[in-house]
Amino acid sequence: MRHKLLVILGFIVVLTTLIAMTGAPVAATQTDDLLEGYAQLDNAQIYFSEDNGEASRFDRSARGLSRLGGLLQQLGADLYTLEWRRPIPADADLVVIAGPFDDLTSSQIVRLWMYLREGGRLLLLVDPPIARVRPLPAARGLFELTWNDLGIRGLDNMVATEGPLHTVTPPQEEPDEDAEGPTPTPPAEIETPTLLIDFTTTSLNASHPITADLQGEIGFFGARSLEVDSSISLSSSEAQALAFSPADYYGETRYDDYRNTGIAEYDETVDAVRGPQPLIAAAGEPASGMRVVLIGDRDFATNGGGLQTSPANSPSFLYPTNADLLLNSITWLLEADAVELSFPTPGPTSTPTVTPTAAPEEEEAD
Amino acid sequence: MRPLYFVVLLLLLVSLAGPTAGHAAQTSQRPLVVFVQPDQPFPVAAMSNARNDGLTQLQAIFERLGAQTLSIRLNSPLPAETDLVVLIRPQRPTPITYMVNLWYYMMHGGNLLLAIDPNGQANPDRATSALPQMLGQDYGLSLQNALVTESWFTSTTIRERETSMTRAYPGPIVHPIIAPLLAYELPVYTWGARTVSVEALGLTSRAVPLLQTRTAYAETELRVFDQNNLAPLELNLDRDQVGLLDIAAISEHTETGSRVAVLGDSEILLNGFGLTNVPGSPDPFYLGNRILAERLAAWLLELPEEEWPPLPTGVNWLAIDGQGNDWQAEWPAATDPFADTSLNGLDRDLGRVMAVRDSEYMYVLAETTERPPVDLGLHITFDTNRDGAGDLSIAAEPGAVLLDDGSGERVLLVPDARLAVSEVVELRLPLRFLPSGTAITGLCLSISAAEGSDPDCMDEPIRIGTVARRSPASLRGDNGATVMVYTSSAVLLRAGPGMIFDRLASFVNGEPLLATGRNEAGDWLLVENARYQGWIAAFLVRPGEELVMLPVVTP
Repeated sequence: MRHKLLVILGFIVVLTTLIAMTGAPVAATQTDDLLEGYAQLDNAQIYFSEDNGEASRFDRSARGLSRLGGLLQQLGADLYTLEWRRPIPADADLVVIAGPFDDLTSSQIVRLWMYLREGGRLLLLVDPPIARVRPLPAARGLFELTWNDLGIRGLDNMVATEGPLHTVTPPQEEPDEDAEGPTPTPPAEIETPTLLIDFTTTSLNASHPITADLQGEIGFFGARSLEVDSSISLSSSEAQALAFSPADYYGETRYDDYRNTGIAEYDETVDAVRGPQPLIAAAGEPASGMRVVLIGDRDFATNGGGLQTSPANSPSFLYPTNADLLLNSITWLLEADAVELSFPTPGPTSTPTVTPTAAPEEEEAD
Repeated sequence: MRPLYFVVLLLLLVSLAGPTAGHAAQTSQRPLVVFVQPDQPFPVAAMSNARNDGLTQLQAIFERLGAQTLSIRLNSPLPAETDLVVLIRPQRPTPITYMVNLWYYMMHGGNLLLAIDPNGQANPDRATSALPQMLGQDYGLSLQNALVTESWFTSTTIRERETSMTRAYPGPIVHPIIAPLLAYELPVYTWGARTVSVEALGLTSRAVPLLQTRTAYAETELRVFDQNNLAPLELNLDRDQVGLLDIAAISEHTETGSRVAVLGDSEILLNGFGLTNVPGSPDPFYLGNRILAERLAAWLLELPEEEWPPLPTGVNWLAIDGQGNDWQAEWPAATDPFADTSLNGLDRDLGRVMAVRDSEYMYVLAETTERPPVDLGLHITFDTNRDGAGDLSIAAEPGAVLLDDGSGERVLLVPDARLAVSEVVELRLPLRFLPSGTAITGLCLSISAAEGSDPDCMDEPIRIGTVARRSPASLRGDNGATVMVYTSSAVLLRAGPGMIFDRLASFVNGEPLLATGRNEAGDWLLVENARYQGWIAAFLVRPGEELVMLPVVTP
């Protein structure tokens, strides 16, 4: 009996060891195989901004950018954190600003634009303005410059479409305490559509090198729409939209009101008109060499958003096209050879996928 | 004939083209100074504006230095050949596009002259906007949200430019730009200034403060301008800035070589204020402002110092520094004929003596055979009533010049007299004690610290020459018009010069007040501060010695 127990115990130990040996190394082998021979970003100097609440390359959480950082590093890039109190180094090949929570300061904008004017490259991901997150307004600051000189900017809205109906109680006006008369009756509950802001799309610009060869869906997790002026203008810039929302989406300019009341109504006089909303754009100025890729969603590149994996912490991206598009953007910005990666298929135990938002998020208590 | 014809034609063309090409080259070598042109989003003082708020005087300074001037809006990149950008009196925050164009130029080695007023009445860049932030980060010069406030300012006077005038002084570092201001104790006049924080040593910059206030504090409550919600002018030690406050500075970027001058007050350089002329004359009214502007311009154009403009004419540039190198050889001189005294054992014999007078002062120079000791004393006897006998004498030591009127009753400290001893002995005396026709009847040198030292005297008559120019000392601006005093105990302010007059207010010990006049006896002073004007007893304030300079005021 004792002998049998020892055999069983030994078997378990051997099995556990085998599992351990074939588990972690498999993932590592996959990553190595994946990246072998693709060190196209050798010695590229990439600077990440972290002063304004941007997603951090050191952050391994769902809000972080560690997967993108890891990919770039394994492709041979040298990664640094930007020091905004000094001019952006002249040898910086690329600056990444991944979803600032606050607006960039004027001095940061000046330093960034001076860098770009010298032929600098920028990957900019910017969330919609919601609640206390107030990044880059459309009409001034950095977007004033990108609009004037490059013909691209983010708009102050949330790309959304109507979902299932839900029941809400319209907000009641504050009663006048001095007024006499009958107590006002509370307003009746109404049914109104929810707004869906997480979605996938396959609508990509087939004529731009970043998106020309991409297949599959890309995921967005609350995006602002972009304005792209690709017409002939005084500036010598070339701007193109790269990705669009499905056609039934529009740009809701009062999304904060919807979060507070649960009520939203498409108003074409103030909202971005319903139709395919530009969500990613690329622009360049051949004369100076300036290049910018603008993505209207910070989570497009975060660990818990566009770069979420299944199983967790494997290289099996749930939205591999997001990763492809990000790497294509970076190689286009760096004018490097395109990185052709083939990501493993996501496993059966998927981490959360993009699903329609059922109801507005509750406002955080102060 | 035909070949000869072509040769002649060719020579003619060359001779015509030669000077033109040469002229073009000469023109292109002139430094280009770009004045920022006002426009709707960014109103600034205009180069072509000849009125009080304009910059034609400043433009003329640059053109006298050989520069060509242009007025250009900042909404597009600056010309590549720009040597200097002049940005004076912005009235709104610098738009981001303008800021990018300016800083792009700066980070490529461009130079900038910036004069920017405090927030409050107008709305230029605040300390947190891009221009001040980047000046701080790249050049160590941080514009503050603080307004220079003298103790005599009131809520009314501070809102009027003309009545917010005050003086700033050079220092503390001797930079060639301010060296003449230091040598002649010349102030620079300002009309409502903001303070500038100067970080002398930085990672990429070397900064030098140029101008400081001496008696003001810096008010950080900018609602003192808000008519609808007026805040009082009062010093809050936990918030306001006190001490010597910098209001102008320069800096050089060590990586790009770019130079910046920042003035915390635009009026220093405006036609009708700091750069105004004496009425009916091309001479500058505020000499310190003119010298500062000219030398700043030369430094920003990176001219070698020997090409900097000379000091303005019409002024007797005698500095009381003990050097004696600014005395003219043609001025009258007398020489002690005797090699007679060794000055208490030291081998110092009195040699040549010179004396001249200008519009307000008499200057005396005495040379000795060897460099004089620093504790040398000078004693001079004057004949002021032309009877041939000495009736007034002065005893001068470094730090104190005493006047004895011969009555045996009064020995007076003369606060605006100066004695300097270095290579030679130099003395300056105000003419108010020395009427026209005064002669020097005797002059002695002695070792002031040595009891019973044996003086070396010259009894030869010394002729006093005349220099028909203004005195730099008379242009200092503090020649008796006002004196800062501090109460030495609790003091009552009264409506007139006497105990019988009504009490207006009481001050605690140490209250700063501006004395603007005195009664004839000199025992009561007319003083004012931000809220009150009235009379206080002279013995209750310090300092006391300068009060003789105050004008007599009849209550």
